[in-house]
Amino acid sequence: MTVLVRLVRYRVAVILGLTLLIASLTVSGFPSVTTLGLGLDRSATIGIIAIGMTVLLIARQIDLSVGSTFALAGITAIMLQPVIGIWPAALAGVLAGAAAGAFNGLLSVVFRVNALVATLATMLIFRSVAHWLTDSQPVPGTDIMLSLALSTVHLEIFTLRSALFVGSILLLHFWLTRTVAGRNLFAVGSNADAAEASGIAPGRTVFLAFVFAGTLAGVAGVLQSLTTNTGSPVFGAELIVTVIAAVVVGGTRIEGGRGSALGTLGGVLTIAALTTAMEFQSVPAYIQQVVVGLILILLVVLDRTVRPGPRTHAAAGVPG
Amino acid sequence: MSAVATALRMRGISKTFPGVKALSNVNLTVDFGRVHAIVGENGAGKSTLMKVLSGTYLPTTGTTDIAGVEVRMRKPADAQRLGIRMVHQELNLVPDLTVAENVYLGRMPRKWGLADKAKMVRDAAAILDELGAAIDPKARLGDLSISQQQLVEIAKAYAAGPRIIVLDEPTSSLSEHETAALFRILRKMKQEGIAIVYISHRLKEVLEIADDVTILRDGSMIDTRPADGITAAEMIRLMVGREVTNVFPKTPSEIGAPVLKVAGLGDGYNFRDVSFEVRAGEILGLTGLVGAGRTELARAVFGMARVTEGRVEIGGKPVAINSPAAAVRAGIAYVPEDRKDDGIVPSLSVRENISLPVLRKLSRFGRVSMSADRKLAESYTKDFSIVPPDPERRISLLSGGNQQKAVISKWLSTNPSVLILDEPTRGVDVGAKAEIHRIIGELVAGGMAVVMISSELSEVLGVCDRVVVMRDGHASAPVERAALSEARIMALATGEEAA
Repeated sequence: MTVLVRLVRYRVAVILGLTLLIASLTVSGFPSVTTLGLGLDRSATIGIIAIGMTVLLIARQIDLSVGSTFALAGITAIMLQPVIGIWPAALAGVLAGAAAGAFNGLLSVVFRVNALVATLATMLIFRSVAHWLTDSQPVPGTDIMLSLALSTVHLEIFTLRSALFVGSILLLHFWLTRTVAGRNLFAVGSNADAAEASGIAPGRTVFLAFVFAGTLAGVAGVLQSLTTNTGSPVFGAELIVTVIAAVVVGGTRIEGGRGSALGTLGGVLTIAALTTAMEFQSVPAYIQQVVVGLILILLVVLDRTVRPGPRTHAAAGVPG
Repeated sequence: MSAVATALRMRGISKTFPGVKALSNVNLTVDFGRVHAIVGENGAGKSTLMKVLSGTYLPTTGTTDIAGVEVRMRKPADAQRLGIRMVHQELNLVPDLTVAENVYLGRMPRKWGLADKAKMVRDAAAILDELGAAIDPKARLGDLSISQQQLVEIAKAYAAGPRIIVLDEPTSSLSEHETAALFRILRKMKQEGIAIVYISHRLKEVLEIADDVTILRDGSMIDTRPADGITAAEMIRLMVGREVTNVFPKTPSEIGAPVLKVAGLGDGYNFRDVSFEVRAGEILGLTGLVGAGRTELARAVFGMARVTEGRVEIGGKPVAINSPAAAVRAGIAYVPEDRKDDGIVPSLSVRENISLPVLRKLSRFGRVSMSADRKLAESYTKDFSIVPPDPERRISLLSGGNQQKAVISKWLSTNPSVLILDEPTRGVDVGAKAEIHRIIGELVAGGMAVVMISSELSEVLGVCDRVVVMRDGHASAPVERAALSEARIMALATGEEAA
């Protein structure tokens, strides 16, 4: 393997490394455990949702409604607190996320609505429901102390949600690479007809992928509202863009069939590191977006130009 | 071997789609340890019958017995549980998984609940080795050539330890060498007692490998006979319901001045230092084993791939061809090998496909003239007897042969002086094949220069005026028609002198 191919293959790690290096050189005090912990915590919300999105993109699906699901789950978890208590309400919030995912899956698998269209519609619907439930007002939670407890830093690095993020990424990596169901997911995203002809049920796989993505958006939403002790209908309004950017920067292909958990981790951390470093440098927010956008384009173009074409006959031997 | 000799018995199978009766009252009996060929023109119902057998379609009426037990298969998984495996014509593989994962797709071995990759790679290597295929089980499938992928597909079916294996046109992308290897494999499977259903348009191969032959025509079963007592001519008669005298009619034509000249062309990788010329009114055959560089060469001449050396001349003048658009301007047309991916736009109608490259010519002030467009499509539909003769029909609904005729029409509409055809009759039925050969014959009679890439020796011998054989990226000197023989071509293609 040539150096170039190697560089492209591990391009996320390279970009992340470069970002950290440049940030360390230009921002004093950047390379510290505190910065790492901070970066992990602020990327945890994006990261947890990106896990679900990775699975969906590999299956050649997409869910634009995760931001709305995120808000809806958070509101559910807060509004039910006085009724059924904090932890049952949190569970209800996660279940609301799962239900939203199941609804998306239903539209996509049973009614065969294109995922982009289906989740664009549910993005609007879920968001409106969130506004309707709350009269467009933020809802306070019952226990302010809980939010402090959730923000406690353990082992000097991890908060509850960043630990959850990193742990889930590792689980996802294991699941995608080592389990039969994980490999079947790639098969469904790469060639659903072939998968079906081989006895895999693509419909069920896709449906479960939607439920999974909805559930994780729900988890992220519940954690967000518990941490802020607030349920708000405007939470996560622009989150979807960052989530997709992080997953794609991580090398997951939007056309399905290719992607990895560690890549998504790299993508999430790259975007977090970039924005953190630029904030330290007081780079205006709109410039930050330009940089993230350019890096996204750079990575995808690199992928397209260096990867050898799929149908070269070069390797064809003459068997027999 | 099973005590029951009859592997499969289908009785009175009918399948009706809204408005179409695809199968009517078909009976099929296949024994263990025998190769049963099914022949018929495209649209005769072979694919539908196989989809019933593979559990994709539930028949409207009729029963299916597997090893003497009546079964009802509602989905492919049901058929697989019963030991039925398909090798599809359209490759049913997953490009983003490895070769080993594809071989075990849908039934990966597990260890502690996880996919056992080491075992998969080991077992896949053993099976590929047994099949004589030099393919790395850890390679990404999408990086393999089409013929290698075909071998993986066969390995996948075989690895499942099937009782019945169904092969749909398995040799359409294999060279003669690889076909011979496949037949060795089939004979081995036969000895193991596997029942083999073999669908092919290549009657010579059917006669070589089959024990029994069932002929289908228009959704009905015409006859089942032992292969020993039947000739290719007879099969064709039963398939089309009439006598076809010559499958490869050769229209005599006046050979004129060189039109396309390729001198020392190479891409530094797939082919090197290739030179040949094609004259007006001539069919130049370009053959060789799959992977010898024929398609890459054709794509380069048409501007779809870069060259690093040599030049191309049209009518004696060198032309720089760096894109298909430039090739079309220079008067070159290319009918690609991969009809589905490069040839047609499946969601458009026959008319829209045909006029695609000439829309600018058909339009005035930026507006496409609908009447000119329609006239163009109608004339080709009629001249080439495209069935159904409805230019507004979506092209993906046509049979392979008719799609191919539409693709050829599309390129003729650009008025080329050189037409390059890459495996023009691959996967099309006998009738359509004769039709396509007739069309090519008429074109050269009209003074066009044609380059025809084909892996099928009988076709090359039948239609070409001269033949260039490629081996490992190098081209032989052209062989004149008078000196052509199967042995001569095989000798040039393999580099081994025939005894």
